[in-house]
Amino acid sequence: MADFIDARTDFDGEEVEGSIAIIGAGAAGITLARELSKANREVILIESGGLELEGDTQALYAGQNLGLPYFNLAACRLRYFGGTTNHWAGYCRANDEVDYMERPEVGLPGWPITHDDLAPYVARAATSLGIADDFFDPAKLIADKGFAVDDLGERQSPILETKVAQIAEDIRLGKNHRDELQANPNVRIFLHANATNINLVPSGNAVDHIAIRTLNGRSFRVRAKRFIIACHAIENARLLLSSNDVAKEGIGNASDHVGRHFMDHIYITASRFYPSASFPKLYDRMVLRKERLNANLGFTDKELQKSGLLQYYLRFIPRFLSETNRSSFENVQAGFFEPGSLQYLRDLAAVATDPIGALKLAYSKRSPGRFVPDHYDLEHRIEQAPNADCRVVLSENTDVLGSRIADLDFKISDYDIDTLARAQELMAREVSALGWGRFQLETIDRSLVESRFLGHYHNIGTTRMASDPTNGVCNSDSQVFGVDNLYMAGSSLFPSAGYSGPTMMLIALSLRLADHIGRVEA
Amino acid sequence: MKTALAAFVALIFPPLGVLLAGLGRAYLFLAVLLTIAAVAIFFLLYAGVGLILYGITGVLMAAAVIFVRKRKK
Repeated sequence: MADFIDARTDFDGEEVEGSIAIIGAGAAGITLARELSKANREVILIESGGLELEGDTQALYAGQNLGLPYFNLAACRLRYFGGTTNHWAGYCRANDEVDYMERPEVGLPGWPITHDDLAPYVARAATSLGIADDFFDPAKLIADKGFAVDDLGERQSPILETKVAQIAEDIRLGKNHRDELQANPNVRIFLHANATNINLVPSGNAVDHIAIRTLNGRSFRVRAKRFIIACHAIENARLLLSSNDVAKEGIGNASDHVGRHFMDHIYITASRFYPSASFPKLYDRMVLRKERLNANLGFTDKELQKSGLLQYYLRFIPRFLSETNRSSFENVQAGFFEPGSLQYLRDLAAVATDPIGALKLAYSKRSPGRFVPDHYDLEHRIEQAPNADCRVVLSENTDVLGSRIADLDFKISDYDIDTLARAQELMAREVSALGWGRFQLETIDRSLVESRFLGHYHNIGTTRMASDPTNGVCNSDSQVFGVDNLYMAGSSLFPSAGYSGPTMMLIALSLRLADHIGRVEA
Repeated sequence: MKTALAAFVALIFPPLGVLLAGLGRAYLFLAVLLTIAAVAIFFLLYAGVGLILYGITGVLMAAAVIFVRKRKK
């Protein structure tokens, strides 16, 4: 069994050479390394971190939020073997057909590949994550868990559709595939090796080598026939933009798309829903979660197109206690084994003012759906429209390796606000008409969205695929336009965010890229 | 009436209930000891365990107040 090579101590050469070099051992990098090595390609896998989280390496992700307050950039992604799958929640669902379509009315550029092009790879990705064969049949998934299929929104309304995601269990790709990769003689894995520059040949149409540096001052070069950058959406853009010694505007950036169109699946909590007796319990956030499923209420592809909406979905969060008492309940519960304080007693007193609600909440955590909640808080989730001004930019400051830091200018577009506002109204009208309950609506506008929005750590866009170089960074085979042997991998390739979480979809794209490279090399 | 009041006070703060009921030094010592132990556990070890011990002390002492005073009569 070959050992991992710690670039700080185990390697003192100036150069390493292989057939294919993959930068980044996250979901995309590990998938590509497994596939390509199985096909007898000689793979070099370069990972910045070690096998566990390390503070000094993670600090290389530090960057400023220049726009709206997005997540801490050093915490929303992970820089060690397995990458961000090390804190992935495991939600898996395939994109809808509409997610691949060009829809200029909501700013969506369309993908250069279709739903059918990617479908076989999505199925393979699902299987590799232990997702059931009936992945594409939500009604069957629901029925298997003992819920009435006739309760589904689509059975009662022509515009509603239940979006069911499965929650995969085997999701720490680093741990899962470590032994397999280590045992494979076709793969050499370098840990603690940071890619700092992509060096092009003088003509600029191919990569010559990638410069690697370690935190203890060593450096070497990686040469290969083909290079795949799979470092996460923000870092992918950072590497292309900062490697500007030959292409002054950055690699693949002739049309100024690198780093732009950054997206997340943003959500806000707004408005309330008071359920009637006919409200189907399967939409209660807590009920299906124990079955490792997640059902949200959205719209059909046809309705999205007709109403000019981005993907939108509603999540019903059961509430048994008032806002204040709920946080007190959480504190009391969380602090049971911690030394007490007077605040703990105050929280206890707050919970004691509604003992029935507290008991219902406690019991519902064990047996979701047993009690009807007082009301549901509503989480409105959307895909963001790609926005050129929502982007990764290089700071003037550098990290300890001398590379310019990537900052994020996060923005929410008018398309996003419009979808949140109109979709809420449409959903409330339709659900009320079904007699499922009544809504107490808040007016959704920009100030409300900007003060309450959260994301999902879904970093998408920044090196998007397109059918021609004027509209994106990579072609439909994930190859950077104008650079013959350079490919991108990961959710940075997505031209639009679609409905689903990005991880399974980016694994599907990585499988497709592995097949493409296999065909080209054959 | 005095028994009921003392039992109720013992539930809230055990040593005071025991003192009001005039149960004697042994009960008072036990009530003070358990109360101090409960408060110490609450602040130093586990909040929940301390509270539960405090509750048990209160119930025990209230029961002792009722039982002992009934027997005295």
